[in-house]
Amino acid sequence: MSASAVRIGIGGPVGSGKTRLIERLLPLMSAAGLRVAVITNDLVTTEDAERVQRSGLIDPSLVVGVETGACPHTAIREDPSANLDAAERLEQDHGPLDVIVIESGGDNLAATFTNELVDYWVYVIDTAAGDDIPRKRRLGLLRGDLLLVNKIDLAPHVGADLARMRADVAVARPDRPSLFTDLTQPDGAEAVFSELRHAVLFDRAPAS
Amino acid sequence: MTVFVTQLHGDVGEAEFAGRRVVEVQVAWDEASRRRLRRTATDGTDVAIDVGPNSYLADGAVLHDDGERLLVVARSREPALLIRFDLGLPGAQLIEQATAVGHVFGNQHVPVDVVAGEVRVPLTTSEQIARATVDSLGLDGVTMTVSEVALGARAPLSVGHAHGAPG
Repeated sequence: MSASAVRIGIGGPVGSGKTRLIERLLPLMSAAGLRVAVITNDLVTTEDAERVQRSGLIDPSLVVGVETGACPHTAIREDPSANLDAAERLEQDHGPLDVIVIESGGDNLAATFTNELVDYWVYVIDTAAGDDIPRKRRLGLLRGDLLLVNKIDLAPHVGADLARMRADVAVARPDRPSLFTDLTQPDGAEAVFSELRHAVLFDRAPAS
Repeated sequence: MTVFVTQLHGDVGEAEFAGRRVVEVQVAWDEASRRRLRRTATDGTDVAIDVGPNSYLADGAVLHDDGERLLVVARSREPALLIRFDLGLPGAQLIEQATAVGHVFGNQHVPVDVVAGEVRVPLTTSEQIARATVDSLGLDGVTMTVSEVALGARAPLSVGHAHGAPG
């Protein structure tokens, strides 16, 4: 049985709602008794890490920002060493941990996580970024363990056809789960957490 | 009831497993090196796999043996572009061709599988685009087909390059 924390990746384009998803998940994980740490990636800032640290949702010492300094997908796939080192330090300094959430920097539709880094990953897209994204069918959308179509509340404001998106997602991902949500709502991540509990946390009580 | 798998027990072809009823657990190529995975076997059994790092869920790997039934990994068959080279060409030219194919798909961050000299590329775009990618290289003697195959049956697919890598 794995002794280290379960690592959950969150990827997706810039502005899709990755950090917001983390902010919504943290209270749910805390309520479930899980001890969680967060690693965020940005190219040349630690702004996302600072945002989560300021949120009041988690002990700031459990949030680490990694400046990738290169294409974000490199740090979660081709060379995840910086993120692996950050995860190891968190476990050494704050263990035992139940979950480490790793947020990638905003990237293109082909970004994916290596299995060396994460046990499960969520791919987040923004409804307002175009209702044709599911039809473009790039790796991130196709292979993510969970696809989260966020900002569905914006659909009528940008002329996005949600019914079409749902149909396209069903074609692109017939065997993998997808959720449509509005993460500005307090309960916007409950279905996501339910999926995580089943798929990668195995509905078990925390080890810590 | 959930079956929790914490270690792999060998390959279904081994003598010790002869006579057991085999129930498949579908695992895709990009999930095979996961340390944690939850699946439903073909008989409806809920299976929670937690085998730790450095394990590989190869096609035929035995997840669970209760003396009567085996839960066995079955690699999902997925559409792939199968690329074959003319092995009658000079070795230097073949090396050049294989390198070009690997490089062009590596630039797309698409991993490849190599089985018996055949390069297998998971279809992450349309068949037309995948074929055009190879056609653009102008390689003599290369043939392509699209078929559903079990990618990464025994080992992980090769991964792409790292940007800014030295050399």
